[in-house]
Amino acid sequence: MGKIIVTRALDDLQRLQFNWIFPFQSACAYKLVKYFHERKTSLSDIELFFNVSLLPDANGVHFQSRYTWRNKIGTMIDQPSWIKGTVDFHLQRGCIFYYRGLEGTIQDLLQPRAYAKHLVFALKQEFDEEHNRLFIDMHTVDWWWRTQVRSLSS
Amino acid sequence: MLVPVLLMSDQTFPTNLYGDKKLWPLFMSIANIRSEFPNKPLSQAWLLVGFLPVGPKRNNKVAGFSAKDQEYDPLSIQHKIIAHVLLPLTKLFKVRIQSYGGVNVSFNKVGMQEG
Repeated sequence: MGKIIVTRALDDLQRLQFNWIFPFQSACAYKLVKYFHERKTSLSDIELFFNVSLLPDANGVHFQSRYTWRNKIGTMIDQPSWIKGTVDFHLQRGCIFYYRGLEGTIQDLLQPRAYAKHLVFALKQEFDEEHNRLFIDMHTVDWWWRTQVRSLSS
Repeated sequence: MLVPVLLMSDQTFPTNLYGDKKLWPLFMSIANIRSEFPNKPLSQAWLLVGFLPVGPKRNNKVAGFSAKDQEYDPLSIQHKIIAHVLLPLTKLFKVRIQSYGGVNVSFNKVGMQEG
């Protein structure tokens, strides 16, 4: 039978200790990383920033070099929801790839309130001013209706 | 109810942060969202679901492994990886959505059909 998916997003958000800026522990660290990323700061400039100690005190920033800064960003991709795998090409072995479960992603796409008025769940035939059939989105073609009816009937 | 899954991927170069390394992100959306909405940059209707491995550089000096085979080898492996990522969708599963906008919506089954 099918797999039941729990509403993990809402459960996490409702917890008081939920860290909105994970993996960073302070707003200062988050803003610093965001600044470096948005300004596309080079690694040498980041190293220079830490070397001249432009941060007078720690301010909750637990990375003091470009290497620890990169490692901190790297932990963002090692969150539990990501799955790590390796694959062997003919000329290169042990290449790493990452992916995450699509069930949760589908749920994340169906859930936002902002998407509600943009969602469609059935075939909708659209026509231009001269009554010619328009095929714009996937839900405007007959494939949608055929597949949906066939899935329900089977 | 039908939930068509859309996947999008292309190589990109995060040069400023990681030197000359390449990334191959895999994004996902669903066709239930009208196309004019997810195409807006800030809609966040395309979600990152994976990073595909970037194939090695071609080497013309490898005996018995032609340039054409070297071109198709990474692509075939990436197709297998995408099939592996999509594998859970072959089983029907239940999705329950919380209420939004005062309307309770629940989707009982989501299945996959390759298209």
